Amino acid sequence: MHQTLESAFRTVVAVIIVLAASTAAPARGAVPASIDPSLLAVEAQASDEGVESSVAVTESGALSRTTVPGSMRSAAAGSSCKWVKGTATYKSVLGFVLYKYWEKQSFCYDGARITALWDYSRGPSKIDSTWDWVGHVNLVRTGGVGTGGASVKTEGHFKQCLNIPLVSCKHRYPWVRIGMDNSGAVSITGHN
Amino acid sequence: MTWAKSHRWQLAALAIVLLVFVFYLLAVGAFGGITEVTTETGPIGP
Repeated sequence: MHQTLESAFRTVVAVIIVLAASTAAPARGAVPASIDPSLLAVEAQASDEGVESSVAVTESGALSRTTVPGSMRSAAAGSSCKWVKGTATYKSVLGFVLYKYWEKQSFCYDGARITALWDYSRGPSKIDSTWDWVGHVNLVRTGGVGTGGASVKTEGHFKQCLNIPLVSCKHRYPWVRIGMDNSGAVSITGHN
Repeated sequence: MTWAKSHRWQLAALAIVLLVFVFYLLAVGAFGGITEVTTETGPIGP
């Protein structure tokens, strides 16, 4: 009886050690072999919080440009302008940030219509070492310049492979939608 | 019971390893997570 219990105990310890070792194996920042090499450029940009950005952003994510670009000044004359950023943050039940997915848009409005749209950017940030950024999967724009409102919705793809036997990879598709109207009001919706 | 008594340190170590492993799984979101959506806006001058 004692030998059976001891044998079972040793087996359990061995299984736990193997599980812990295999789970901790992927190093921070490592790119899984299953990721398409063409996505490596996007992976590298992810740490800059500037994926698909046409304008430099500061470390905090705020737009470094605070004036309307020259090419937009005639269209935006007499308008008010602002930038808006929406972020969907996914946290573990213990409160640790696992990843963030964001998009930004600058626009001008005059009370009757949207007069200019520029400096759109989107991307992932603050990715936990167990999660991998795969790429953007969708971008939908509605409305636009000259209309009473506009919106832009982006969707991304993250995955987590813990290398635990019998546990498959998790895939999540967070999205963020920015809505803008001719009065300058903005609405952000999103989901992880 | 005798076996458990004579192996209490091993059992305690196993319990700690299990707790750490479960904590790790909770920390990395293996059992789900929470979503937050935040908004930031700022003015742009002419």
